[in-house]
Amino acid sequence: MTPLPIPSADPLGIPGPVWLMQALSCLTLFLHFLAAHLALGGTLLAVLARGRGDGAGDRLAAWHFRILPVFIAAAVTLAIPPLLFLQVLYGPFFYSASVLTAAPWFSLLFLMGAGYLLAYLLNFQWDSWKARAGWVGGAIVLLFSGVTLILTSLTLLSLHPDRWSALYGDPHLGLKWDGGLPTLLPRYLHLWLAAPAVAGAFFALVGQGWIRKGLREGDWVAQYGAAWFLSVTLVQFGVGTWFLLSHPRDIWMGVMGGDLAATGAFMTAMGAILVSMVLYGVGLFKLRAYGWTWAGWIGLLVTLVSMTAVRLHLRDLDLKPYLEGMWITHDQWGFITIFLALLVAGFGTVGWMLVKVFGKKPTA
Amino acid sequence: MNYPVWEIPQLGGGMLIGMVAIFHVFISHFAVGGGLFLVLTERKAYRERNDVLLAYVKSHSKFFALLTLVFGALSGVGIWFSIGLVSPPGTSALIHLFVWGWAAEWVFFLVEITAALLYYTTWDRLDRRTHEAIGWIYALSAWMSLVIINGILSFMLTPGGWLEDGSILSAFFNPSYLPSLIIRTLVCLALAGLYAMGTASLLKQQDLRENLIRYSARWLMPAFLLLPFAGAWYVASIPPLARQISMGGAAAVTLFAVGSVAFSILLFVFAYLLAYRHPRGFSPALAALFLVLGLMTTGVTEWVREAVRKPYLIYGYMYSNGMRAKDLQAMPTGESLLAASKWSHLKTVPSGQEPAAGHEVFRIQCAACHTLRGYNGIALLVDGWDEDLLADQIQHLDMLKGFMPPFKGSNPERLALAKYLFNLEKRSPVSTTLEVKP
Repeated sequence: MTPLPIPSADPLGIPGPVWLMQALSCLTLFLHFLAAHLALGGTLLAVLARGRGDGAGDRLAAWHFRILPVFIAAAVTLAIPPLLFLQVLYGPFFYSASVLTAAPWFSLLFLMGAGYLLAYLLNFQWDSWKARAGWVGGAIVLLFSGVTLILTSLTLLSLHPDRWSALYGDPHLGLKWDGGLPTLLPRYLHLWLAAPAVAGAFFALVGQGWIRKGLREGDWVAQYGAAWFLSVTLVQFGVGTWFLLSHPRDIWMGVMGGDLAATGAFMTAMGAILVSMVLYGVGLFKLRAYGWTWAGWIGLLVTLVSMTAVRLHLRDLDLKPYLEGMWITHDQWGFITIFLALLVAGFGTVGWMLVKVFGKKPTA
Repeated sequence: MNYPVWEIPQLGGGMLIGMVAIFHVFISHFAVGGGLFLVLTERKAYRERNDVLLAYVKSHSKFFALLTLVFGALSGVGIWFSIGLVSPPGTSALIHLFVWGWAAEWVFFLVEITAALLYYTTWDRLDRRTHEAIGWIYALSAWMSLVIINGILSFMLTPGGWLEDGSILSAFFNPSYLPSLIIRTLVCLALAGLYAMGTASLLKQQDLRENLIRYSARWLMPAFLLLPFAGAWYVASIPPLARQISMGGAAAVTLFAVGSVAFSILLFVFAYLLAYRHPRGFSPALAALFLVLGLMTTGVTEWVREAVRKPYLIYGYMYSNGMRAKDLQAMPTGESLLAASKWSHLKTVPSGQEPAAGHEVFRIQCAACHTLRGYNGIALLVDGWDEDLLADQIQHLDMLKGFMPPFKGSNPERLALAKYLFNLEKRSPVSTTLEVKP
């Protein structure tokens, strides 16, 4: 049998503890998912809200398109650290998969750039473009759905070295794409559906905030968001189960008791999402439910971070046979300390700026 | 040979990286200098109580945000994508060595993006002091991200003591670190002025337009005065072979190096004569021409910086084709390359399949820099050579051409590569041999 062409690990070794890189990966990937879900799902929900709710839908759409560039900027910026640590820990798998599907992978930049540019143009030209916001928003949804598909399939391909050789052509132009990867469809659907679910939950929170401020549109927005969150999350239970069971038994058993950390993260996610659904359910029937909705939102964040951890665990379980001997570490603690100090200072500076801007009422 | 190879017809990997990198450098350096330009011009507008100037800064900040946040951020990710696709081993080495440097750079990038978004959206929301503070935070964090990235970029040409001691500090604060940082900072300031001349040329109000064009042209002055010294320092700090390549050793590189100096001089002379001395006649078309000239200067300079690093990707450590110098030294002469390659379709050179095996060898050793018939096309470079000459040249590649890595592989693999190149030449549509018809 021909050995799988898995590249050797970089001889420079891993310059830090694996657990730290995985923890930082998990944290930033969770934040990236959050921003990306708000960008994609928020745009979808904003497009569908237009013309509904006696003006409330239009107000929600206008509000969303005003802040959409911020969500996109956050999604792009927060994608960098997980990609960085991914290359350190799983470089042989990531680079191989990306070179094999080079053209689709590189096209991601153009899809992302087009969506980002459209979002800014809509933002800058809102008065003249708002009548076309549905079309522009629809285009953004399509572009970002394409980005999600490329990212999902690349990630999946990196976990399947057994499928690599078939993609390496002669000459290798990188134009092929493996649409038959196992778990691709449920994985993609699970990730894509999370976008309207998270955005719905966020819009419900926005609506509750508007109710507190006395804005009449708040009621409709809160219910619209909560309804989306609850209905899509119900669908997610089915899709998520399909996704999990599409893995080989020894992998999915990992999150069902086989691996303590993976099981713990999965159970936390399940518990938190159920609590979150109950709390949002209250918001659906009881209009003034600011506190309930906030608590539900926190529950959803716990779910997201736990599911991100589950995802990373699944990756390790998938790659377990190949990772042996790959992680030879030599900790650069001096540099790690400098980085962590800068991280704290950086977050502090960002926090200071946000407090200065949003902690004050407009001067004009 | 550890990774698969992406063959990009006509363009080649080097050109792809070059195109993305030039575009990114032109925007990202503006993003650094432009931040300082914005906050200092805002201060100037408040100090002079000049509402019209303030209105200009507001509109310039919107243009700045759009250009840097969308195109700057995405082209930065684009470089990362393209180097990872074209040279996985090189990218992997840089990331494994400097992961905490990249991570620290990301922190500054995060602060920079947040500050940029807040700066252009809060003109009417914040008091002057706080708004300026956010402008300063932007300018400082953008420059700090350059301070870090410059260490990684300059390391690739001058790894300095790292090759011996393996210390990250030696790698980061390498021999060309400081001159390179000074050059890049000066370029940032010049680009801030260049872009501002562009937006200022669109203003309707004559007085403001003239004042701003003259003011923006002044931003090129530090570069005009100091670049020759910093440039000389930089040239003195790079390896002797790199210096030779740019000063006559390789015709194309020398030509581009001369182009870089000539375009820079032209840019400064034009800026002085047409913008600083005669701002009245400075039209948007002229501003566009300046930007094109700026892009060309950036393009040729970055191209030279990349080209002088040949035959290495990381000087003394890794060759342009991703092979580590130490690994090649340790490889016994005549050992099979195909057998050691994880991705080669052929592990030997079967009789009758020499061209196919030659193509595999070409992919592994040559495709990182050469296309077949496009940019740096091998077919044209070996046009007119017979098979024996090709085989001989390949054997002594690094001795005959100092900017080429040594050939590694078995004798049959070398002959297979020669056959493949020879057949390629025969099929070449760009033969230089004249066919004389009776």
